[in-house]
Amino acid sequence: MEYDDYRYQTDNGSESGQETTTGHKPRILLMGLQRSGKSSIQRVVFNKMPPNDTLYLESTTKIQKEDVTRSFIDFQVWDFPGQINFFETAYDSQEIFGEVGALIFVIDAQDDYREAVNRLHYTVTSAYRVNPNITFEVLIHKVDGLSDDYKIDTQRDIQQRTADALADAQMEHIQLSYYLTSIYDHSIYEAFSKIIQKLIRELPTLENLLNVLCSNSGIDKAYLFDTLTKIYIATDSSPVDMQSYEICSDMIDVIIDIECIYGAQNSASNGTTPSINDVEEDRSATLSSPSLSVGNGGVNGFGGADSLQEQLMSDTSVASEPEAEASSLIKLTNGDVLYLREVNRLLVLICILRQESFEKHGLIDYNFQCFKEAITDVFEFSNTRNKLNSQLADGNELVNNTSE
Amino acid sequence: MPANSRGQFPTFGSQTGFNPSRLSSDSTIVTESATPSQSDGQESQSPMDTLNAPPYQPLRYQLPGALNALSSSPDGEYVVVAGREVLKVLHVTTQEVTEYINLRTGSNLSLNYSSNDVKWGNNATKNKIATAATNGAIIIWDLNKSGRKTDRVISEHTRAVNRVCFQPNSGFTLLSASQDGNIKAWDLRDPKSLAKYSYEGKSESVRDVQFNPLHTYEFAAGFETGTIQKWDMRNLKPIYDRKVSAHNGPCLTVDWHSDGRTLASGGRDRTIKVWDMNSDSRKPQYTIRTMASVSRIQWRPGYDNEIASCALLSDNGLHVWDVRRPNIAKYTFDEHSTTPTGFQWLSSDTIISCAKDRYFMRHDIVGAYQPIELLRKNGIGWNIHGDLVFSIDKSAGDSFVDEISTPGVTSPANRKQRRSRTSTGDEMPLQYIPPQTCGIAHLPLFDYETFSVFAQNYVTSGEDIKMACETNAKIAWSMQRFRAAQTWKIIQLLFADMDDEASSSVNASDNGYVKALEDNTVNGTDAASETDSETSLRQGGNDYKDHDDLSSSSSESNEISSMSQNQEIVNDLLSYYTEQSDVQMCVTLFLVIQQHVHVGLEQLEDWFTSYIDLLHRFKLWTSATDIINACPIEAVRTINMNATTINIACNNCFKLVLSTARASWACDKCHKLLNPCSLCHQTVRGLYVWCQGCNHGGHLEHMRDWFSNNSQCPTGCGHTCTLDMSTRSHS
Repeated sequence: MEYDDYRYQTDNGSESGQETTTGHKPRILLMGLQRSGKSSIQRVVFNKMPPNDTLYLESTTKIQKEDVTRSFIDFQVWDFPGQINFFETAYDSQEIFGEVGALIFVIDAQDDYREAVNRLHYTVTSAYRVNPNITFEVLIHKVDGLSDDYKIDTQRDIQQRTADALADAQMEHIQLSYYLTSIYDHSIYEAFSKIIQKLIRELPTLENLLNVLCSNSGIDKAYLFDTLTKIYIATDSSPVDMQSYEICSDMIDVIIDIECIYGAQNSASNGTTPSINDVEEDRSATLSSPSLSVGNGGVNGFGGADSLQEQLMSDTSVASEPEAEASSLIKLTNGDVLYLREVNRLLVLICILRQESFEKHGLIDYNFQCFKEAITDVFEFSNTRNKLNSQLADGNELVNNTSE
Repeated sequence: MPANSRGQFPTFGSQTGFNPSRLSSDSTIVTESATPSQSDGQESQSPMDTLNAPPYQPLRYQLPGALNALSSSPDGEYVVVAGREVLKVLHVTTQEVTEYINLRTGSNLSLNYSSNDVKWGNNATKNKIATAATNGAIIIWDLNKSGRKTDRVISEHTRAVNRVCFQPNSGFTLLSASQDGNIKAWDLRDPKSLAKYSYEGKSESVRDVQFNPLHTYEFAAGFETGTIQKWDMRNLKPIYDRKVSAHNGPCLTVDWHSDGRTLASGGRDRTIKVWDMNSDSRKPQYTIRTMASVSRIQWRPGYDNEIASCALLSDNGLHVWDVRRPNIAKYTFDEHSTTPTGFQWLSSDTIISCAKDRYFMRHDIVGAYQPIELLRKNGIGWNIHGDLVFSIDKSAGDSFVDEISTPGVTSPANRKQRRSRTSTGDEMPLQYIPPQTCGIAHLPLFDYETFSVFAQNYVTSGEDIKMACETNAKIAWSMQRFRAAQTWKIIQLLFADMDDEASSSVNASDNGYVKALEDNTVNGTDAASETDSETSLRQGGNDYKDHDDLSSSSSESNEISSMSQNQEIVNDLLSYYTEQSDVQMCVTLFLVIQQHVHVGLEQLEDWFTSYIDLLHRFKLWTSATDIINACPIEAVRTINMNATTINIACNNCFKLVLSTARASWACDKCHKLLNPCSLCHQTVRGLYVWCQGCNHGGHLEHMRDWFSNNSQCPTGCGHTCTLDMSTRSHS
């Protein structure tokens, strides 16, 4: 898991993407007023920019397109400049909104949001006319620093104003989802997880697989994370608790950091030599770690993680695989165990389970192997289906072309 | 002092931490209860009774796997418990729990049986049980069937089913809430496995659904987006009746009140909210803040205002709240070793619960502890000037909430109130605020003025003991602290001039007698209250005795005139002032005569730290610094050496210059140069000289040149600087 592997190819023009599969790739549009935080969100979530650095972002002047193509996540993020109205006739709204999967509208909660609500109403109604299949997501953003009461009041107020405006326009059947977010905590990742889950067709299958894994291995909660963005693309059907989500996403950070320092070089990954294993085992001893300060608020709920035990081991038993899978184990003082297994280079599975359940370690590992195979199957299946679909679509286009 | 608006007890300095440890937490496994349970509605027991009664043990029954949900049969005799590996019907009596049927016998490990939720039917379906599985299947079990009890498997949901619910009256209609965002209604009389209705909430996953107990065609659903929706089954349009955005974060559970119009909801934002579903209000009637995400709630039958809740994570308790007093639970059951996953009221005093710790339990309200009993109800605190503020609980008897002053959810008074409020706008308090008496008393135990005068004027150096004692005595005398003045005089006699005659000392001690008397009278008239004059009289009595001892011993000491004898007297003196808690005197005395006396280091450190603390409290920073520097103890001296920051204010806008540490030369706020030279308008690096009168200045050289020829300020502000010109350097 070398960090550089995860850098996306950011293609600035959409041309290169057009050639491959852009025609069928869902788009995520980031819209909203100027200075509401669209580019910040995009940078923080997809480019791993530290939240504090977003202060220095220049204002966006043209549509920034970015392809995100990794395993189940397969879409294009378009970051819009806030000051331009894209529904004017100068722009081809069919071109922009025709293929959209989700439209994310960002509202600055710390500002006067009346103007933003008007704009939201206008955007939603205009986009709906072009493409009624868009899902509309509203991020009530920058809520860090607001009190809980104020947050819910703001949400209620925005929701009510929008609902009233839509009802006046006879479009109350448009469904909007609202999220309270901030780039300074995990709320933005959670909101994006939910938004993206709606675009993942395989979600019910993945959820079912996770349910099966959980019930058969005595796992309390399992998340399937996209490693770089810290977005969870699926979880089992029990309610997501903020604390568990936070601690799992913090765990990814820890693992990636350690990976960067100690991990095997990507070029040498095909030969997991014994020496590397030795090094890693030494590390597990030295890193029984007060220095690993995992998490901020989330850890407290789990009874303090001051005596985290960190064990990273390279699984060499799957010798047939060219790359060794990372796995990691963190024991919390309250008796819970965090168990991370790498599914493939882009996905990790993180489970929370009780110490008692973890005694059946072998069972969990076996179940995990089955789970991993299933995931791979699902992935391959959806890949072939995508190809088929694209071929079909190409065929249609061909037909269209010839008919013209 | 207004009463605390949130109804909490004020907690000033004293810690009133919540202690969740039970009075009797003997957790042995028993299958029969120690005391016969009392379910006759007798619940208001005095704390003494609860303490004296034998510790109540809930009925426990261990099952082979973790439990997710439970449901009781309509008659309350049987309970079905469900988990990932368990589906059993238990026979529950007041004495014991026995297994009745194991529904999973002989069944293979099908995913259909790993249950998320379970519900027992009613009336027509009183022998049927519905379970909801994580793979989207709903299974109807028929207990009357012989052999395998599976009646029917419905698998129409694509994702996990979170909750099922039977219609209360007919029992034929079953509602299911699923992760796929749909609510489906099934008619169990119709054997075809197709949903009669499907309601799409147009929202994310449905977490909970429940029929209205009164208007059984209505149901409410809680959604992952935090909204709750009310639906009417008679309405054929696919749209909800009413939608409330209730929670910040997912809503996990809803429960109808028995009045059919009030709905409670609980969510991940750690709140339970109570809504009037008939009104248009967008605000909840009541909000209860709990300690953890709320996973299940249920109103307590027979008690209109009480609601039980359990958490999703991290809180193992089962709490019963009164909506009118949302800051503290009325009862708490703390028996499970993990978070309870399901519970149900069997009667108004009996509650059954299950948890992932594999235990099924039957609790009686008698066995719950009342968190309020563990809280301190009175608070007290004082400020440095001797003002004492206190608040005393005035609630009468043991009632948790005063029924008269705060009408509940459904009380006729509240109904009337609610109606009348719309017309008159008259607000009745919905939240119970425990009656309290608050007050502020001024206790003249400490004389701030004298203290600060002493702190600023006392001579603390021990170089010239005679001079120091004389000055200090004068100061004390002028502040009418005659006893202190006498002490200084005695010290002067003992240490400054040991060859002095004994007669003067006797005279002095005679004076001491008289002055002490005066002191007493002065104190007595000054004292504001009777009690205070009493204490001062008592103190006066002590003074007499002390002075008696002192005078006699001092005269003796002069006769013997030995160092060790002095030491003894000084020790007596110091311990006297320590007892009087006059650290100022102790510290000053010690500093003046420190060459001649020995005091234990621990004691010294005590005095110094408390004196310095006092000085800091009264903002006598300079005096405090003097004392710190004069202190012989290393640990105290280092106080001054850590974390001293000097900030610079802009001389134009008087805002703090934030980047002082990084040697900034311009103000962040007004973007003017800091300390520019009035003549060359460059930032002055190095020596800066300025006029104390008009605050203008500049380079030392430039200023010298200018003022050799001019007398007015170079900026033209009109100030004549030369007379007051003082050249101080500032780096």
